[in-house]
Amino acid sequence: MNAITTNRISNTYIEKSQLKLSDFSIDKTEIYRSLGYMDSIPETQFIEIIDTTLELLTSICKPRIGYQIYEGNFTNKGSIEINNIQLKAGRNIIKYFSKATQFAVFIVTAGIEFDNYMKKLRFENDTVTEFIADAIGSEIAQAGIRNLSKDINAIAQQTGLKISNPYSPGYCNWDLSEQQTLFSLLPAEPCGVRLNDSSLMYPVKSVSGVIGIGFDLAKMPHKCNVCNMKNCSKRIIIKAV
Amino acid sequence: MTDLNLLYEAVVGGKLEIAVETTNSAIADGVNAHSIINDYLIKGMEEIGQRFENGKAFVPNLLMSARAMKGSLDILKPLLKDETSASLGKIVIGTVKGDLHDIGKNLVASMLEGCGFEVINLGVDVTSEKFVTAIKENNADIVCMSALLTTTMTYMKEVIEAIEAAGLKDKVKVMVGGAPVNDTFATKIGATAFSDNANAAVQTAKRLLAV
Repeated sequence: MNAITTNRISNTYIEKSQLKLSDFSIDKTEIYRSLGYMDSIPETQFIEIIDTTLELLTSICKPRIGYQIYEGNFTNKGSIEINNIQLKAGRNIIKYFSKATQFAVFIVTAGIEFDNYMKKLRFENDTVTEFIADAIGSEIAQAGIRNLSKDINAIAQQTGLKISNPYSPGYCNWDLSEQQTLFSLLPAEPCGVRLNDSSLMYPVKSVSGVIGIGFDLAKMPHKCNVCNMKNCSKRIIIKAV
Repeated sequence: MTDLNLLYEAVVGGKLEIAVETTNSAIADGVNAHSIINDYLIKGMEEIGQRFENGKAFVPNLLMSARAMKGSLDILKPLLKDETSASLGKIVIGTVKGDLHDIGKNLVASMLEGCGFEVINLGVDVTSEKFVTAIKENNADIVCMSALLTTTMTYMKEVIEAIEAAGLKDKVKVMVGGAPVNDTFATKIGATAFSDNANAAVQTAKRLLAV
């Protein structure tokens, strides 16, 4: 439970492991874009595969979200200090957090059930469905973040606070190796997610990150020009639409 | 007499069942296997590839076409008298150590296989030792490496160094790809070629092997 004092939220780690995919708002347009359909819709045969796969995944996926809200401060222009731990998010991200006084450290995952389904498709050599399911998995993770943001926003609003966009290691020049530090602010294997030596997450469709909370925060549009990943798939999609 | 244009259309449209049915029918009619491959299957793949390059077809179309072509090739390969002509070349492919992203790599593997290459897919998180062993064991013509992260793409250089150390540099071509990879990086690490999509990867592999 969240214990709320004046403009201050302190809580323990919250994990929602009983979610259903039907609780999430899946945006099919995003799935189409991930598949390469920027300003058009797929042919009927592919829409049928997307719908069938999404329906199947709705019955088997067990997405989970977890977060913990901390107070934090800025020790230099590129870092946040939370619980005596430095998160080196970099200047590009820190400027969007600059008015935050608290930080929700979060994890979202489509779950191991999704990974198992992908393994099955691979075994069956069903490359078309595998490609489509991968795009759906990415959207499940994004929908999970939207779901989580709503939760954090509702908590923040109780004390008149606002939230920032979510930001994650691996994006906007935040080094991926910082995942290890970020995970140290969460319980062991939060939502069943673990890191490998390269700081990648299992299950694969998982996202970790931080949402800033404060009085004068606003959700800023994501700007690709602050990031140095010129070939990022998201940048290509945004540029194309 | 079998209308072989149906086979061409089946490949372009990604219709596996029609491709298989038409291929069997053509064989029963005594049509030469090489002719079926060169005049209809490859031409069908070239057409869908061109549509993809022109933005008129998408990745799912490529995959469906590759599947239809592979279905037909599986029937035809045992009929080819010269065993070596049954495959355009052997390709070892994998996502490098530390990286778990495999959908792009699998896409390239499917396209290569569909277009007539023999593909040995090593999966994800592949070490340099595993790449070298697979190249040796399969006498591979090309090794393809994939990475989606700036942090893991650097491992490609280690693999190339291991290939050189194993004395395989002159025997195998090295192709690299993945979101953060580009031509400059490929040249810098000593790769033979870079491709930024599955269709281009097939064209590049054909060019490298002159097939």
